[in-house]
Amino acid sequence: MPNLMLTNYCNYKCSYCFGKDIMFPKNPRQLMTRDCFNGIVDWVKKGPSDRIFHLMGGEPTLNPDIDWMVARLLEEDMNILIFSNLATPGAVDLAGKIANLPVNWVVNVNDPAHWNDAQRKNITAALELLRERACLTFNIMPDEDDNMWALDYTRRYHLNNNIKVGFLLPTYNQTNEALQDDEYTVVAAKVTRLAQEAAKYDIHLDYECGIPTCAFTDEQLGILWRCGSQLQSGCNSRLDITPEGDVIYCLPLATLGSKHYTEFDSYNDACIWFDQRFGPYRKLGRRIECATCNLHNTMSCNAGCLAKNLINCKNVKL
Amino acid sequence: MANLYLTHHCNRGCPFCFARKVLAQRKDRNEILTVEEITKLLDHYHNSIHTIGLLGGEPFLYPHLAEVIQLLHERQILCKIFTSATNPMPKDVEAFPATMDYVNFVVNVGERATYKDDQFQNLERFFEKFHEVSALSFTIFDLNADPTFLFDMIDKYQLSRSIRTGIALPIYQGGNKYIMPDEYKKAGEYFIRCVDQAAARQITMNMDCGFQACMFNDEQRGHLLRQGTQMEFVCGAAIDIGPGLQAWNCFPLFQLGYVNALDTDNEEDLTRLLHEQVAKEIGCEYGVRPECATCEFMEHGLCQGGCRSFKSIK
Amino acid sequence: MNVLDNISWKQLGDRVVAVDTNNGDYYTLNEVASTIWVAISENKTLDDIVAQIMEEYDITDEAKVRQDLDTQLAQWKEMNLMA
Repeated sequence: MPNLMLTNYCNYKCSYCFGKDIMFPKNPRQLMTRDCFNGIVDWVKKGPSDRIFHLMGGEPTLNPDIDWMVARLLEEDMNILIFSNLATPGAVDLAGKIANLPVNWVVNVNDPAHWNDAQRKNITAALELLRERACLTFNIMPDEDDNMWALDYTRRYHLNNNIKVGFLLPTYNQTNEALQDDEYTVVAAKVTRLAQEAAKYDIHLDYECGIPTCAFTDEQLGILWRCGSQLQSGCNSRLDITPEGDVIYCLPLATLGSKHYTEFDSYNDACIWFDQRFGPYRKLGRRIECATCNLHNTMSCNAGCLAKNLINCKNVKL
Repeated sequence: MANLYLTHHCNRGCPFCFARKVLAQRKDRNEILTVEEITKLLDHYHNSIHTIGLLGGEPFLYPHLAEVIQLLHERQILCKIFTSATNPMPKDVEAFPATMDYVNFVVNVGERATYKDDQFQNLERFFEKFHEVSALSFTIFDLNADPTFLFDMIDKYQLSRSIRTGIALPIYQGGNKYIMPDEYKKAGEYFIRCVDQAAARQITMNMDCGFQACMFNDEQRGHLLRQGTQMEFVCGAAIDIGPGLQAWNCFPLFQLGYVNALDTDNEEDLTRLLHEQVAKEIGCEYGVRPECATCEFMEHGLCQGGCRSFKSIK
Repeated sequence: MNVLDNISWKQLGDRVVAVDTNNGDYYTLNEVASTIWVAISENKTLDDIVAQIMEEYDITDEAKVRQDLDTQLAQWKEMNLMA
């Protein structure tokens, strides 16, 4: 089921944000309206569904209608996952209202050492309210310390014991800070150390899309498995829908094209349409070894981020 | 996944077969799992079954195989047939479309020398017809065996490029050939060699039950993952249901008793009943080595400590 | 000769990989073929490509290189990779 961008702007300005190609300030600020939201929900309901809606942005809690939207989805007995940095007053307010409802949060965080006072106040207040309904997600930076703060915060606030980690992924137009090729193994080593430390507290790692298996050595893969943090190198299969209802394959590839959701009979039709157009490009891989790699050929590894693999690729079009 | 044990008859006599005791004890009984019994079971389970295995003995020696396939298809139950395919295909089974999406065949194979000529010809004819819905199954029991024949078979007949690989396990209190736990490290190294040879030909080998996590170190486990191996060190809740709708835990533990499959109406409860049955006989703690008692893999549910049937082996 | 629009490709090291976005057919080119492919995409003349191959791979038989180049290009045309 789709990722709904409730806003295209954010209260943060992360240098690595992979939404930069289509978000504010590149484009005017947009909010998803109630009408658009209703239209999309009814459209999604037309076909078979896993009944899970992801609410994101930008920062979704900047949309003043988010309370209403969550309520609508709960009335429809949908499962909801909100992707938020929790650093807005709106996030704390919403967390307070729905902490006991079946809504889960994926909290985009940076190292707390970089938080200002207002951010710290809001984030910690919201985490106190959400507890195990929230899990942390962040990018492993190649030049920062080993992220043990994530374990500390997970334990301190009794958060969900799964932490989602990601590699810095580029947009297709390379407008953000992204990992260089020679930094992949550095980050892989940090992920492995984090997983080993996390296992001591029964905390496990999940993975954002775009992490290739070959960034890790055999031993590191084995350690991750042993720590209950087995690497997944697949790609998020959910389509994104912008505040104005345009369906895109994913944020990093947003500028390659979009179609309004009303042009598809159902969400499934949209998935098929985009898969048919982007699917063949996945075969190109990121290294020549991908051609004979069993993981790549069985689609257990998508050779990292498709946006990254399409940079410098010729004849790419939707 | 529940398996329907259709018939006691088999023509192969594989030395590692963990159904040997059942087959030997019951081969003179003129009994099969009837279509009426299967229908009664499915009705009783209120169509809550979505996938089912058909095995034996040899399903191709079961007189109503086509009827059962059709029955399952009508109820939208995906059917996995475990066969050696060394008997001629029943004509009515051969009449099914070659690309049917409601049946998969899992074909247990061995080296050419283990087949009589007519058996191998039957196998080849079967592959020619049903190669699109067939995958190989291989049991490790000879740590010097060359696995190349598997890959050649896959390439020649265009079979599924994934091989289900088991390790020869003992029947409770013995009766077949199996790999002893003290050979498991060697068996692990053999498996890795097979996996590497398979990967070089774009074929994956996945673990069936019986493997233990400690057969490998971190690097070896990581290597297996990189080669696309689905690692599994905890056995699935296999339930076998045979004539009279007797249900038992799995072939190696057949001797530990059975229950009636109609005593419950869902697979989860039936599994629980059977586990209780087994626990009554051999207790709940298991692990083939003393180290299993303090093993982190066991503690975190990553490994079950090997086949429970080893409890009976000194 | 040009690479067809539906053939998406890139260089991975000194190799070219290509995919037909219409049907998903995937190609990996050997080193020499990759050199030729990149040269074609840069609109080099056939004479220039022959000279480049001879120099990069230290081959002196110009006629053979030219013949092999013609064969390769004809093959790619037949495979609907170039026109």
